[in-house]
Amino acid sequence: MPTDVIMPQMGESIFEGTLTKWLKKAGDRVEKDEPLFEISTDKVDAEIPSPVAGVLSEIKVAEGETVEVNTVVAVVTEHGEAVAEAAKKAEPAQATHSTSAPSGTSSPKVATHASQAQSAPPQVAPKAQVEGERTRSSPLVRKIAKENNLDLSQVAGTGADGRICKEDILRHLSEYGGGGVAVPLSAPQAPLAPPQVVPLSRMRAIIAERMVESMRVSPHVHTVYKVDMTRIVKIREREKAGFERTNGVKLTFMPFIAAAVVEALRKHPVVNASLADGAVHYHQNINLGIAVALEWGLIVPVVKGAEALSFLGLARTIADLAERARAKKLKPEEASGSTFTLTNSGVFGDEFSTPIINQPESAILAISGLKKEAVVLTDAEGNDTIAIRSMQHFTLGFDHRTIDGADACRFMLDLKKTLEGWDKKIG
Amino acid sequence: MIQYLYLGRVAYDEGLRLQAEFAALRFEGRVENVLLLLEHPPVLTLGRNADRANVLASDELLAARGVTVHEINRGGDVTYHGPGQLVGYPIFDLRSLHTENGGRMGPVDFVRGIEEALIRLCDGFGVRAGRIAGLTGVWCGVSAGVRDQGSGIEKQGLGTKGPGTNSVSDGLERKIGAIGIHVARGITSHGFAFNVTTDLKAFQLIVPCGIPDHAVTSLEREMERAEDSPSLETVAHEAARQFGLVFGEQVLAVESLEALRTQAEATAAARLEFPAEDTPMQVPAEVERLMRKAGHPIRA
Repeated sequence: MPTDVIMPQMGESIFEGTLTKWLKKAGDRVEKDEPLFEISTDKVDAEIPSPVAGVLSEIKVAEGETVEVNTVVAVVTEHGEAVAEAAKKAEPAQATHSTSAPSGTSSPKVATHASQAQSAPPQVAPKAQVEGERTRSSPLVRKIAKENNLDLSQVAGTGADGRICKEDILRHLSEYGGGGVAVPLSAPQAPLAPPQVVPLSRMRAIIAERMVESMRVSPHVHTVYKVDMTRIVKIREREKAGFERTNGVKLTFMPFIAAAVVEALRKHPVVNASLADGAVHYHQNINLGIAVALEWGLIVPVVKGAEALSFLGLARTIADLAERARAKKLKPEEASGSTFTLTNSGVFGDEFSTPIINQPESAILAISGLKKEAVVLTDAEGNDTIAIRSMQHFTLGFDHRTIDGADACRFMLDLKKTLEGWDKKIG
Repeated sequence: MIQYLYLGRVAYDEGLRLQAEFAALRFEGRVENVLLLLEHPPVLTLGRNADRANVLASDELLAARGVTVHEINRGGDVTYHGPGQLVGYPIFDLRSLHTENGGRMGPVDFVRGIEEALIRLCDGFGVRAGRIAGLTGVWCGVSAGVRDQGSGIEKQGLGTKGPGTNSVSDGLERKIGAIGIHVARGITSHGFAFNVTTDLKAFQLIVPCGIPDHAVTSLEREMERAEDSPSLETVAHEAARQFGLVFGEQVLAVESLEALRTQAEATAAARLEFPAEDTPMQVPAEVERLMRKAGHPIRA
């Protein structure tokens, strides 16, 4: 896919830039982060790197030109990669397309594709090819093609400019026959290539085993609550700069949520318990597991003894664990022993999710995306108004062997109340 | 975080080598943002936009005075470095910095930040300094209201009441601090030169920064009592402190280059200990056996 290289912003109130020198020529191969061009301004000389590896296929702004920030100055295409991908997938139909139909299509792989695939009996091509077809066939012809599962690029047109007319397609059908049973065009017929088989990594295998085990052992029920986080959003906005300066750690939403969860768990200890050996074990400590997504899998570092930590202690511990989890510096005992787990899918902007319990715990809390919504607020006198508030869904997945719906909901109501009416010091 | 080190007198080529070394380490994330503070023997440096005509002295004269000339890849024109001048090389990853408004820091924002740090540095010694629009650097004798070209950083607590804005123009602006930086892969190099007790006559060898008709000055020259002028090392520590305040970063003094290099080694070694990205972390089988009952679900 071609990537645009844009003029970067050299400073906050600077809205244009002068490209002083090209370090590569059109047609040169470039690596990711390799310097492409220079901007010289005002005692600053900056080399601007390529965002991707590929070929510098087009230079749009010349040396010495001044353009607005975000203007596309060049285009890098992944020339070499396209060929390799097509060969791997072995879709001969796509290749032959480049010979006939106008290629202003959505499939850039075909556009940069240099080699010709081997000739083969007509195959049905993915729908992306259809775009180019429109200019050289009538709706009737396309209908006939669709009914017979035919790739129009295989059909020779005898009309003006190679246009396919009805006779052409009917002749083609009588010579070659159709492409088999008609199926919706969006599903490619008879792929020749087998799927790409990737053996499970150890972590993937462990996760797979644990997830199945958890679903087998615990009857999962999920209850979803919508919480008005506006008060916390405002507090955080106000305090975050000072907090970071004083304490050296960023102020995110996690410590607020963790602190509220700890308080709610104190009041509803069954949510912090485990079922084992036919008995409910009420844990003395609250060890909060905070699920961290890594590129290669999932890990749950644990904040041990969260009930004894202050707000600042929670913030520091969470930040430290997450950082070390990403840098792979966690000790094994730091990734085990949790009594309750938090999982934050909100960074991906979801509405709410239905998480799987981290055994042998009895419940797990999913934090979803924080979104501004129009909400009805009722004042003390009973007047309703619509206000814009920051709302966030929290989903409690719980084990119905140990926790009943009433317990779960009472826990969630307390959590909601703490978060909506936040009044604790954040030191 | 900013780790800084005062190195004392360092040859110019050695300075270039150190910048390259730490820029590479910074790019790999094996050190934090590093600020190298030092002093050079007499040298002239020509930047990318330098016009050799701005070197007024002949090559013979320069050789006779023991002044070497270097052409380098920073922005800016020609400048002089020498004893009594604090040279600072901030090797920072711009992506680790943010402007006051929370946005990304671009190279020009960074330059404004260096100006701000040096302006406040002057203020700490009772010297008023400011900026001149269109002339990057730190100037004494600027008249009130010439402080535009501000970055977001300037707004933090200074606004219009900062040093430089209320100064009375002496009629002749004179440059006390010069700046020229290079950015590659998001990492800055080169930096600033701040005159403390520099022999200002040496600037007669050149047209400083290619700007004729502008004088140069030093902290010693600007202070009420020249005898009060601080040592280079004192100014270095104070400059590091101001960098921390302006860029909003914690500042740590490093003991030596060795200490920085050892830290970089340790970071690299720690990464080697842990498997490459496509191999996940696992608890050793023996530990699993010892700590867990058989058949218990394995934790990642």
